[in-house]
Amino acid sequence: MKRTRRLLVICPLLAFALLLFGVPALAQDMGSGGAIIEPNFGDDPTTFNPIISNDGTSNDVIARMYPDFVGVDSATVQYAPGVKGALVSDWDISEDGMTYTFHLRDDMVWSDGVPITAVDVAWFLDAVLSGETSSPRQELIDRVESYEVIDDHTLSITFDEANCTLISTLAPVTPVPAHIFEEAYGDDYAGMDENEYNLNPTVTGGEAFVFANFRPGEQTTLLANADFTDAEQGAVIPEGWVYKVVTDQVVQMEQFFAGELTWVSSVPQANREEVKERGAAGEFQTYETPAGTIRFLSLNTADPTNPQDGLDEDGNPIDQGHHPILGDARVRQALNYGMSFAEINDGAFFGTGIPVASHVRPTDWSFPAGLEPYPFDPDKAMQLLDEAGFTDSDGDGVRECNGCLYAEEGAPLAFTAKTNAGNTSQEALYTILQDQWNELGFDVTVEFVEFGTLVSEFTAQTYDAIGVFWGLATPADPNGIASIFLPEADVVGAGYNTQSFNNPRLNELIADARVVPGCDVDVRKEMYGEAYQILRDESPWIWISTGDVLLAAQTTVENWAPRPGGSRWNIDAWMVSEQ
Amino acid sequence: MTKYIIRRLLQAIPIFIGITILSYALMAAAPGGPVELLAFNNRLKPREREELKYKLGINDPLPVQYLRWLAGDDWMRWDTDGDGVADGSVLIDFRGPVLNDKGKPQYDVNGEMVTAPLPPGDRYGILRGDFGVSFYFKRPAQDVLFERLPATLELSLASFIVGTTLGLAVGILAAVYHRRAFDEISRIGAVIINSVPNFGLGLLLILVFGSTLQLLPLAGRCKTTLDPSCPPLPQRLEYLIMPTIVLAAGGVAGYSRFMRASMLDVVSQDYIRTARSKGLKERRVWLRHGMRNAFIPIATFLGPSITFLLSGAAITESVFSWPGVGRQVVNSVTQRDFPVVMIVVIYAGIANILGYLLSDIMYGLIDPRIRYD
Amino acid sequence: MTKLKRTGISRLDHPEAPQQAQQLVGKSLSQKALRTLRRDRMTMIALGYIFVLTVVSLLAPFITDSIMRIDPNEPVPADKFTPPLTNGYILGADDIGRDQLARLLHAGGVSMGIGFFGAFFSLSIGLVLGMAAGYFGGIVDDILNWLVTTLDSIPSLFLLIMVAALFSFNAQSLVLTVTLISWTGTLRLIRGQTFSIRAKDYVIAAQAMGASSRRILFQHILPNLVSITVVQLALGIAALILAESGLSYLGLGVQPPQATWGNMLTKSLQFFRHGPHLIIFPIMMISATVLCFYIVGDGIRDAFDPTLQQ
Repeated sequence: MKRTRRLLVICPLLAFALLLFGVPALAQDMGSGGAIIEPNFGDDPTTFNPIISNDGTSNDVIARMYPDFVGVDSATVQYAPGVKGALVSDWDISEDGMTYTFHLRDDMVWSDGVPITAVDVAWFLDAVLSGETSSPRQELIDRVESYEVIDDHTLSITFDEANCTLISTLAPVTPVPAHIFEEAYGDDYAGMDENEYNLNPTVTGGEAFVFANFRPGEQTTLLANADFTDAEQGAVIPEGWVYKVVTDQVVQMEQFFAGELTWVSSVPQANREEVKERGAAGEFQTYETPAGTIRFLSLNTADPTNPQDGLDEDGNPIDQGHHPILGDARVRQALNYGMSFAEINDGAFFGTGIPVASHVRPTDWSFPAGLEPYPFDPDKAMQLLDEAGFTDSDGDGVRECNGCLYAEEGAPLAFTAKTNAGNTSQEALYTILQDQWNELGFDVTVEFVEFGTLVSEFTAQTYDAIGVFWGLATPADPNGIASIFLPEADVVGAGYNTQSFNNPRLNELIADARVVPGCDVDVRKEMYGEAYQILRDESPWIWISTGDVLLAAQTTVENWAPRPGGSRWNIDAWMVSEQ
Repeated sequence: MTKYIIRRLLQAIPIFIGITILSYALMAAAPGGPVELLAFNNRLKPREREELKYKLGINDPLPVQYLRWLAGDDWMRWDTDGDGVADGSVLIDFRGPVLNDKGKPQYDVNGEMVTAPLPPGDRYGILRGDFGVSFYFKRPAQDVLFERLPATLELSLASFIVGTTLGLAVGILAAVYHRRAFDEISRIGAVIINSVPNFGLGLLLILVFGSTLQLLPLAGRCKTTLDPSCPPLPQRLEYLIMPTIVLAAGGVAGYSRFMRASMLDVVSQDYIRTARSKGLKERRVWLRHGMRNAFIPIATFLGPSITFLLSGAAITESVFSWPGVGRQVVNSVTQRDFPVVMIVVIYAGIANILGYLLSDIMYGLIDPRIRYD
Repeated sequence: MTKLKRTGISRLDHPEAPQQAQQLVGKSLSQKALRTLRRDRMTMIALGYIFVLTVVSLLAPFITDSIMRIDPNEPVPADKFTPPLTNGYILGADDIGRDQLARLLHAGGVSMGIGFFGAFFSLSIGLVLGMAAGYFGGIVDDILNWLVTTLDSIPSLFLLIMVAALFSFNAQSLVLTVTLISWTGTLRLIRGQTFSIRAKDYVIAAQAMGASSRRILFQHILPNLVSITVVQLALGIAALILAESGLSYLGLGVQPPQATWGNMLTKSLQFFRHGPHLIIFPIMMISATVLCFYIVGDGIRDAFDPTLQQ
């Protein structure tokens, strides 16, 4: 009995000792190029299979180890033939504009030495177009009619119509090692999600790195690709790339300051001033570039109590009623005039915001001259509200409907704006906006809601106003964004036109600009210019701001040279020396 | 003894069932419950989505849905002739409506719903280890749990050992130096440490010992290298120090108070007084009689400690980017990743039940007055 | 084995609970205890702090509206990060220029309210059910025991996180949830105490003389539970204030614009280089308040512990 007692005490200690002196791992020497350690302020990647990947972290890793099909030139920020790390060297377009013939490079190889060919592209297309995978690339499925492997280095793709955005439709196409994928997945596209190969890709290539290992909750590690043909310096300089999970934003920056992270792709707003100052003093390298995101507040123009699709089965518009308050364009304009960007920028964005009039940035090709954000003009705002029939008749500071268009007589000028919880700048932004709008006689309620719930309300179209971020694609695709406001996209529970906006002139412009004969840039630019102006004036969204992002790297990184078209475009040349 | 353990294990069964009912109820009550979420997939056409819902049994009564989750549905609806559709069932229908393209049931001329046999059940239920596939990671929920388990075990075990040894030592010393400076300082110190939110304590340690003094690494489980795994623990103890302090702080405070109280309680007992009056040396009195008896209630810490450490770990792991289960639960809950949340809750429950059992057994082993009859 | 189970439970949860305190606690003992308490300076200071804080928090809307004439939710972006004692900001301004003092006052009402109501309701449930289980035993006890063990087997933070993420908290729903989760500890404690008081000679004597259950429960048992109940309330409030801040850190607590100490602290962590005062004051409020509740709890426990009174 006594012995048992002792054993019981010893057991936990023994277990701990075992943990302490577990199997020794083999230490690996780091080479002269050093390792690039980049923070991942998010969850683990879910898959390294480009066919089904659907989250930012996975896509980040995939982009480092699989080639592009059509690449974006990091200097011009346009799709271009023969770009670094892309398989397509050139393409021809048939006369009817519907068939593209792609000529592929012949010098790219997978990490097992097998050349990268048209067959590898075909495997990707086969899987996605089968419609059986959980691939989120629905646009490819909709647009691509057929494709044909002409030889190892020639591939033609036929679309369902001729339009000016077909190349960007192909952006998600990624060559995959067909000989390996065939073995790993076979024909079982539907079971692809649960295949173990997703997290253990043995063969990758065509980019600066190849897959090494994945440590759940900790990091994803890639090693230099010895066969990378496009390396700036002839060979890949850094020894490897580590995508390291960091779960606390304060700790993330402290780790960067302590030199534990090589670089940070987006410095949090709270730390920007400090990083800039220390950067100017030579402690870090810094780089500022316009952000790829836009903040907006979506205003529901239709009756939120009875959400309906924009069009019926025959394509005729459905009467969706009007939002009692926000259904009137003058009220939406008043909100715009009553928004002081200067104050928001100072209070919520630390002065880093850039006002926008629509979802087009001044750096985009389709940006029209003369598109101005609303000026801050509270008098004009109040005048518009008066005109719209909202006046404060009982003197309580909140306006009521006195002869307005859609609300009941006497109903207060009130609505609820919801945004995602847990984001400091969104919290600050909407607290300030609420204050500004209430000055005009609105009664705005602000709610901070968990993101999942927010999204489901957004798509269900049962909200008054919802504010979120929106990532803009690079290169910017004016068609893709403008399509958000078409009635075809007004599908309850699925479409993006959750504000139920429908403007016939806008619909016409978007449809025409997409298929301009010859895709003449000037003609398209003019058409999109008019479309942006309509959106700004009618204001189904309140476009609030875009901003700059600040990138920072340790001074020990040589050749760190971000561009607007990509901060990692020359990552193969970065040299991280020990401090 | 064996009989006792068997009886206790039998007693654990209703508790286990209680845990499953409670967690299933929470999951089912959540907006957009698990079946809805499984069927929420934008690549599915309306008809496919509705068919999937019928197959997953969204229209079954809740107790049946619970039973399916618990024990699977391969025995509820089966396919004996191997033609891919069911030919018999208990509790649930083996025929479901034939749906049109919009996902609506169809009716024949008599107004009867048109039905066809459904596919056989293919779930095994959590009792047979089928927790389903993580909605987010698209792989078995078990894998997600077991990948994170070592890190959590490492941290909780270290915290438990540090917490108990330090707590007991402080408690014993406080009792020996009863009402003197050490006693007062340790008591007040324990209370103060306990009243700071532990994420605040964690960040404070990081800023002081990591950023400013640069004595310890700021976060993570080991040095970031290109290696496929962390080196063995002795080579990375410095990474364990701060999270262990934060997680053990509550324990040290609690155990020291506990130990102090029970030591004082024991030494005021008659037999100790007798021992003293017989001229036994003071040190011997404390060590042999005092401590030994005071250790008895300590054995019972084991059980409650498991819950405590698991709870605390969720926050501590988030502060220190520790790749453990606690942090994953927080992520999974916000992603509505029910299979992962459920498996963690159920395993935590089982660990807890076993912890209490072990506590009781050790309690009996150390205290000879208790017999397992 | 029943013996092990019962004593095991009561001793394990509250080791320092006065096991010996079930001797006749007459008027004299409670009077004595109150006298001891009054002489315990630390406890009295802590009580004073809690009292003042409670009054100030209850009056917060009045103080900010009529005396300070400040709207705690009104941002003045130009004044962001104003340090304390500058431009009329006594405790400075936050990241969008709201007055920190005003916000701390309003937040105090919410944080303490969550603590108080959460602890009060869970205590009430625990007290009633614990007395029932300890006194009547039998099937009532078995069912409650099963419920308690079940609830306790799931780490309570996990439960809170689940409920928080699935249903999104405001102050009221948070109180409801913590109540439903945290009554089990009290029940275990009260059950053990009731059980042992019930076995005392004088209770058995009263029973033999034909006293009704109701009379025994309210005349003999309840008075003996007053002190641990108060102790339990103080510790419960402290624990819930901490829990609220922990949930806020995970982004799952009470959402702004409703200020709580927890969400004020969490939010300002990232600004620690811009305005340390935004961290120092919320963390001080949380820690000082929790500390005072601990001290009061300990003080009352000591005062009512007959072994410490000689």
